[in-house]
Amino acid sequence: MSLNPRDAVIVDAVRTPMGRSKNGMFRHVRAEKLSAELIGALMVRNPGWNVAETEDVIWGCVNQTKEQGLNIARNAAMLAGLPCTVAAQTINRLCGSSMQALHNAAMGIQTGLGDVFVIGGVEHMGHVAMDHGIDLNPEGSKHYAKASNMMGLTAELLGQMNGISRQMQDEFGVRSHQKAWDAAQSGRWDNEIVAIEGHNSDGFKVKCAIDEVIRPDTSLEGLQALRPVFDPRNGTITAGTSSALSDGAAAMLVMSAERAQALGLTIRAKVHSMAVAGCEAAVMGRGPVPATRKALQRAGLSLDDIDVFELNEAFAAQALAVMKELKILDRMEDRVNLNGGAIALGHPLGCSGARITGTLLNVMEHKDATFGLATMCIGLGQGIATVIERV
Amino acid sequence: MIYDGRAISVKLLDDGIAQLDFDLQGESINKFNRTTLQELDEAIAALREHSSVKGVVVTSAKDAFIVGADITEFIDMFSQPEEELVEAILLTNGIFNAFEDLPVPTAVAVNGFALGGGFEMCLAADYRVMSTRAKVGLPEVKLGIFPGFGGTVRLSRLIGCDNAVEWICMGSENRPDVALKVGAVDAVVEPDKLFEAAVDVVKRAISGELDYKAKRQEKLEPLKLSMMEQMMAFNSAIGFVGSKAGPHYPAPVAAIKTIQKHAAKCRDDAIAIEAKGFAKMAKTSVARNLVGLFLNDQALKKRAKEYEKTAADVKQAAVLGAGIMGGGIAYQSALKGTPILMKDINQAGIDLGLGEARKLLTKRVERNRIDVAKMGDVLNAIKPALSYGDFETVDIVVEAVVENIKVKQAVLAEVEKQVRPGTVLTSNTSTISITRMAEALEHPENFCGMHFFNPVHMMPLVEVIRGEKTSEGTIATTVKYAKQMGKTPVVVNDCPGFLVNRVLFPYFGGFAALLRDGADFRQVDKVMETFGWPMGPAYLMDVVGIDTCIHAGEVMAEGFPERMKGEFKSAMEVLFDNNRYGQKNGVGFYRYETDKRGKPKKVIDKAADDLIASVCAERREFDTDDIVARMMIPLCLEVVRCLEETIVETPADADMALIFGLGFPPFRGGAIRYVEETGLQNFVDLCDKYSDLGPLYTPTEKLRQMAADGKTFY
Repeated sequence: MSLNPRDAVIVDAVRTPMGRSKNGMFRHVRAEKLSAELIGALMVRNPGWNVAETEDVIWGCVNQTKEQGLNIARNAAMLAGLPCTVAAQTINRLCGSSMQALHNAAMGIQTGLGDVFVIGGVEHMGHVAMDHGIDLNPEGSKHYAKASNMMGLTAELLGQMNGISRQMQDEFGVRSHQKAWDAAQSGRWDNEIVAIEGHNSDGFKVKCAIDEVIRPDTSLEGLQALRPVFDPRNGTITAGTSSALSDGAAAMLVMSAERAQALGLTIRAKVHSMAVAGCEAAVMGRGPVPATRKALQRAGLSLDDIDVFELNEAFAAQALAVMKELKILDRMEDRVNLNGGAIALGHPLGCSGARITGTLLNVMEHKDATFGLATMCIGLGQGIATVIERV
Repeated sequence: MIYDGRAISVKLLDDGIAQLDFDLQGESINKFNRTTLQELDEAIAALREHSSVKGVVVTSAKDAFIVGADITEFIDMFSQPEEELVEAILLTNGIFNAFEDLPVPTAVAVNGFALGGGFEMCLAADYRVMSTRAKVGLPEVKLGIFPGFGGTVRLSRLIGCDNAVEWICMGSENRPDVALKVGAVDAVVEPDKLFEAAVDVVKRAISGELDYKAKRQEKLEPLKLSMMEQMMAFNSAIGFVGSKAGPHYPAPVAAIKTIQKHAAKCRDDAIAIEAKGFAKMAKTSVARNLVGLFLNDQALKKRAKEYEKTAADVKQAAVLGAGIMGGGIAYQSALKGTPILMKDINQAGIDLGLGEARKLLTKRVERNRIDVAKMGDVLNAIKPALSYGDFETVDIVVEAVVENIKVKQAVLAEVEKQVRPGTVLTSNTSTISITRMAEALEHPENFCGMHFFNPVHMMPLVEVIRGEKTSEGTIATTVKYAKQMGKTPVVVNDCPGFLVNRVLFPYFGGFAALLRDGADFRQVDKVMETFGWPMGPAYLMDVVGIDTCIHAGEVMAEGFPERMKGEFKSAMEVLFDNNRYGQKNGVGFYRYETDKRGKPKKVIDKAADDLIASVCAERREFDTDDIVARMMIPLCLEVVRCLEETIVETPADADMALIFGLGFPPFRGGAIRYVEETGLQNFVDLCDKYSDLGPLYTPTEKLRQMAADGKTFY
């Protein structure tokens, strides 16, 4: 494969370990700090990067208020010690925010509006709750169901329409924790996790390097015993088959191919194609389907060309429904979310896009794969997808 | 003048603006009775024919805008065959449609309450301008029906289906800010600007600045939701509302299903669907009973008003005996604006009473119902006292000391000497004879019973008990005080247990016999809860206190030995003997634990089964109907006796007292409604089927006669 000078390439990808939102290890660590730590880590890991020539810091974050308010990207950049000449912006495409940050950087590079970008995202869901300060326009009720704002209910509907049983969901939930824990045990997270100072349950100051949210003891029997949370009567989705609430950040160093080459940096992958798409809010979970199709079409690839997938596990029912519709369910075992997903690691909204794309990159390197696709569903009916190619 | 009627007038103002004014003659409020509807029809026709009318403003000459349909007409109206009812409703809808279809822009000036049909009138207009003092809503579900003048159609189009479902299923009265935010009204202005604002919006529509045609069009069209969003909206709403409303109140879910059915229809077809659904609901017994309940409540309020006319002012109250009950009474009185002295013989009692008030106030502050300043004011209005120092300022005294006639008589005689002549003395007793207590007093005419229910702040009923010598002025003042406290007073005559407890104990008697014959109290609880009681009899006894039930039961047995003297040792006596008093000491029929949130949780306790086994036949499953009949017959018959003995004046009073005081299932309308629903003859026959169970199941001769003559109570 050949690189064009204006191809957007990923030089590095890092993330924090995922802390439990309820009294977890980052309960005294703020969202800007988690973000700044990663920018700092990128500097340390990539001494060839001349930070002063960075065009922009693009950070995904959903609930931009309190500590996440007032352009958290700029606050994080300043905390990290980036020169004041580097710009910074925060963007919001809900769950797809930091994947969108990657897309924006890639678009900037492809159109000649900069050569070096830091992208990433963060969400401290323990400090800024998902529903904090939310005031939706009541008039929206004329255009979509209010229940479509309740992600769990949309996943119930999607699961129902696709015949995703409780059993399938519980098995998928166990798989997520098992794979994530196995990755932790065998060191497959090591290249992406940056240890961050936090506090243990007694309040002692410690360096956190392990995803606190993973539950290694998750069993099928345990999950089967849980009660449905969103629709207690007829529902199938439990806390165990929903993405966990966690605090975390993820980041990437993105450059034009020509600049990376000129600096002598290792190019880990290039952004091959990107897409966003909309769908009905009531089944927002199927957003990855149209987004994936668009991204593949733009890449001139078919699903068969994709070696590994990272599919954000908002809910097991949702992830399984997407795989069913894309007809990749039978290839799930060796191609999809090989290190587990958000059910085990949690889904800090603004962080997840950069997190799963970074994880995809590491899995691809581990499997020596060529093409990988990361995709995620977005509340109120959207999907976002990125195809990356190792070079 | 374009039109001049008895309920509506229409006149032409400047600039071609016509004012359609609702002003129902001879009434303090506007409502959609037959006259008003007919005149509205005529007025609209007149408007249409008047060529110089360029816009219409609708107003009300009363304090309220229009409070709704005339509910007194419902009973007759709903008794028509379903098809005729549908036709009648469609005719009325034709009037609203004609208003909506006027070829000129329309606005309503909502000056006060616009409820039910009154708000549906507003919805038919192009613009709604609301006063800051007004409230709007569709409370029909509270009567077991749902909006039938196009409300489900227009509101769902106007504010979106989910918002409409919330308004309709909650039946809430909505404040101006809420109505404006959701889009149910277009502007909210101060009352003195209301008319001007309504005229102004019509003028802007006439000039073309505001596009009233597009706004109107939205109400004529189907919902905009896609099929998928509809599925989401309706399924989640049905699930949520259904579980909240429960199986006995079908109207809220029926309203949602009606909206679902007409979601894809244009106005006229949608309204036809609404009318059908409405008629179906109107024909249910739930609607009949809830409408009856509403009318009973109106009648009760009217009579209380009559009493209030002759009542003395109550500016200062006093309660004797602090404690939980006294504290609850003091709290309620102070909260509702009547300062109260709280006297006890020792500081511990005062502390308990004030503690109760503080606890209740703290809860209100936590729920943002009042602010801290108000909490301070309320507490300041409760003046604790260990002596009778200030008692000459007192207008009414509520004695709430221990339930013991000697103590009560002593306390009442003592306080009588401390108050001004003419001060009303009352006793908060649940069973003790008012006439007998009065014997200790020099002025028994100033004394009556004032029976609060526990917990005082929650339970709406107060029984005002007339003793043999009680004067009507005393009753009037006590009724007035009860109203001042925000309670619903029902006046009854003296007898053991008065009305509510007198009919409760035969119900417990039925329960005792069921257990004796081998029924599982958990099954009985379940059956009676399914019947609609907030809690089954075993759970209720645990909450009331089994010791309290035993003591009160003794008083009742003494009063009515022929029916209420237990002929066998009952399960509750066994529990009492074993110090199982219910929730208060953690064990009764059930065991009570504290859950994670610190609330008492009811759990099954095998020890109770083992204890009561000695007085119960071998455990067996009972037929549901059997349990209901054996529980309900004694209660209903006792209500009938109370009516015959004029303990309670009217069937309406009796039914309301049971609903407010005992939690009798409201959708069943009360005990007398329940008997009438069953049919008097059927009920008598049912009693006879259980005649071997004893005198609690023996109908009165008068009831037999009424049944034979085909008479009814209401």
